[in-house]
Amino acid sequence: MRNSQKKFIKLMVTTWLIIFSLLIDLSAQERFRRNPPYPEPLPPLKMPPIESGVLSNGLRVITITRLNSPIFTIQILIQAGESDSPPELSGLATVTTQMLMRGTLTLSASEIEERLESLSIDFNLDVQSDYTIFTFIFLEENLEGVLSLIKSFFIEPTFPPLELTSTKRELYYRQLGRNKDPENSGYDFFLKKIFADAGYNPGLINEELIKNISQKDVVAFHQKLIRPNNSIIVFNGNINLNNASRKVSQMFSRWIPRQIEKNAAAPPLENRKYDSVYWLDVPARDVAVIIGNAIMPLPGEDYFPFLVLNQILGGSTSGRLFLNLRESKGLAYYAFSDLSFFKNSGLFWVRARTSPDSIFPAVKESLEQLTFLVEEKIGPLELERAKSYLIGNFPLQIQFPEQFSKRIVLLSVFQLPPDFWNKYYENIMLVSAERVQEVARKYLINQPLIIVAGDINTALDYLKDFDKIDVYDRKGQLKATIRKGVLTNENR
Amino acid sequence: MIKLTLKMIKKYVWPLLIFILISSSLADFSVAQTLDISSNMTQFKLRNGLEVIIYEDSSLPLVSVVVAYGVGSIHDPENKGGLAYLMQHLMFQGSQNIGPLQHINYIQNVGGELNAATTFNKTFFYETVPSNQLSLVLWLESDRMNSLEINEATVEKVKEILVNNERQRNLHEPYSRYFFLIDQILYSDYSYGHALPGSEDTLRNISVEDVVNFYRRYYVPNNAVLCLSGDIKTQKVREQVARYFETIPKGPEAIFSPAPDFRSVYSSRDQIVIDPMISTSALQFGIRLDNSQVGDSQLFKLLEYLLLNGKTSRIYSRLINKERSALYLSGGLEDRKEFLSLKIFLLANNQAMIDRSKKILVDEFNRLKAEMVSEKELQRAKNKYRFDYLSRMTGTNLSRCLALAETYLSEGKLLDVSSELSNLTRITSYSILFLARRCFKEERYCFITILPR
Repeated sequence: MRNSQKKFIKLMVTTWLIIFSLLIDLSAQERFRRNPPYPEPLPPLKMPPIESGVLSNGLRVITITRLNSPIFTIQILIQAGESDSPPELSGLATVTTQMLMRGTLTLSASEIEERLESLSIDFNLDVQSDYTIFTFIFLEENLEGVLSLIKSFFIEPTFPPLELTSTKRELYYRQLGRNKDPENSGYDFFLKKIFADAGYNPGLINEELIKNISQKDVVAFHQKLIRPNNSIIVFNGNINLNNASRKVSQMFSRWIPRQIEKNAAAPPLENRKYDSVYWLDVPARDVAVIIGNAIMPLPGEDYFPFLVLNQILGGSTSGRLFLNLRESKGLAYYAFSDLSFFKNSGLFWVRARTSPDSIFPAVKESLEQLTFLVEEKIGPLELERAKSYLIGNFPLQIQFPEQFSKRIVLLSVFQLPPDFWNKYYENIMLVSAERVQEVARKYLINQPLIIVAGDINTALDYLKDFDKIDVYDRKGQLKATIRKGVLTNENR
Repeated sequence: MIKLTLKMIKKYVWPLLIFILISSSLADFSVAQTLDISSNMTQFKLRNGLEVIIYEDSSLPLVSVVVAYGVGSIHDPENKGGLAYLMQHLMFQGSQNIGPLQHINYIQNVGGELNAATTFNKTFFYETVPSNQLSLVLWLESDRMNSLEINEATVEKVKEILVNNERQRNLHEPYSRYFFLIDQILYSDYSYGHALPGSEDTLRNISVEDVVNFYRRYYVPNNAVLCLSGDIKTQKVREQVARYFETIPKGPEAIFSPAPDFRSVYSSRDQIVIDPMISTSALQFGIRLDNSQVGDSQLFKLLEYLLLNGKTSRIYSRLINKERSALYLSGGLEDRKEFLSLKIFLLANNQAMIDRSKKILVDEFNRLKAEMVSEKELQRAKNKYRFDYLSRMTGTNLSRCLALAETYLSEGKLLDVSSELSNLTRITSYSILFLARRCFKEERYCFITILPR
């Protein structure tokens, strides 16, 4: 063989070797792209240091120490909410807590507004049935100024009459706006029906009664319930308990405690069977469906199994409700399930938004999904997926300091143990398919309460498959009854 | 009364002033130090041009990932408006190894959250997941950067969804068309002025070939930044990022944004539209703030805070609280590269109230040009600016990642918290006055009054 031939063959072999090795390399690169990678071990959830103490006036101080952040959060929880408003003074808790920031001995409402903005305070007020939370988020460097301002709200409010009028007006229009949305008004109607005989207000406001609230009522509510020994202040930022307690003692020492007289707690709501479907007549293009029943109150051993059940049923877009009602059958724009907790009661509820022609199949499908949970044990894959979601999503729910502070302060309201959240992962992991089915059989076996909110005239033609529907107007008055699509008893 | 002599000024006032200046700078310095941005951050570039920014924050076992591409609505070809927005949706329709919408399922199954957003010149894709799932996100993001599945059926399906969304928007949000109309007036060329979601006609004009070309040109590593923040270790992440992204081929070298071709001067406009779709009278105001200079962005932001941010801001307090001519007010600055605009939208009871609101707006702009902002008012705006800025940088891994990615794509550099905050302290009432005089020209005010039939 000539030298040139030898060289040519050598070159060819080398070239092919390079191409071959490149091909091997490329296929190796592509191999890892074919399947999702395995996750690494789950990292532990590290909670920031939490300390707690009580001042001489009964005010409880909690500190959540977070270093390396210039943002500071203070929350003040008052253990009083709309359930403490007398029935004839609906909205009193909301109006009173709003009025705390509408005038003090030294500052007018506009000066307070000015001060809040000068200190660049991000403020939020959340009035629930059993508690109220004030949230103040600001730069750490403004801590002294913010505390000084906050203390004046609680110790020196003056409740000016003109501000009271505008606060009541704002609340009235806010309620009217809320009532226009079928899902909000449907949920309120659901609460009204389910707590009908419970002797407890789950936070509902009747806009027609707001006008009854006087300055005297507001002052009395403040005197009676907005007291240090009925409150908790939570600091979340670069601070420890000693420093926080010293600052609070200086600022809030003039906040006088009182004996807290609260109404006797209502007994836990019972899970029971509902026979009728209730329709709330709201002028709207779409229809909201709310289906639910009572579950265990907090704390309770059924909480974690029910949390997993809820996740499987409709906790996210991978829940059975969303996949069946929306993705597979196109019966609803969306369908989810939720849990709500009150002082002595708990609720699960399905919520779906649909069009009038899909109401019956959407309700039927939702009820079937509840039955499946009662009758069939969850498969291991679905169970693990639900638990994986709950565990993975938990840190996202406490990303914002105010979200974490709220979870900590609510431990007291619901009398949960201090390490409740530390054991969250562990408790979710322990839930078995048997426990999920057990709680399903306990709470989903009864026919739940079914509420539909929408325009009855638009939907009338599509209601033939329902045995009986009681139709209510927005004031809660029974307007008509529909049997098999026929209006049998119109009370208009 | 104490008489201030030159001697006294020299002896007491100057040292005091210097002390105040130093103290305020020190306060900012200490905040910047507390944040300790640079020591937690690493930046590097892969061989294919992908910029990577890693930020370590171990406070929670989470990680956020942002992949931001330097492409947006200004890159839509003429009469094919909505292509960038369509592309954002197509990125969820599957790639070589991931089925349609599976991206969403993979993230949600591990408890994560995700979303995407398109602006006039950037497109963001982002996820937050438990930190042990980082490689899952890198796998998903790299697969769609590497091998997006684009075919006739998928493109048509997404076009239908967007056309339907457009119809619904026109039906249920009748005022939205005026947000786009004001853009067309302020930015009169196609690239800058057309509506980001496109219209039914322009969406229908888009072909599969357009989509493929757009994807190959702009959805490439050398036109993107990958930002990660959370409970992660830099060295390990470097290896993971290299594994998933380094073999993705780079795209065309030079990627330019289209040069703006609108008239530098446009005339003011005051038009009335009767719209049977609306029930409440409305006003849409806009002005393009030309003549901006380097370093003006903070000034403009402060100006926005002074005018529109919060209940005590000038326009809000006058229109809503004092004179009550408006029922609802929203607005702010919009930044289209070096071309900023200020837009304000308000609802009012009737035409008389709209006219009154117009006068108040003009009056407030004139006041801004005639009088110096008080020290107290300026300080309030600065405090808010600092609060918002620091909240963004320290709030969540996602907000930090988005800020880092956006700054990098806009300015080609990393965020510098301490210089941002120290620059803020140097802004004076004079700077605001001169900016207002330079940019707020009455002959550029555009008003669209929208009245119900």
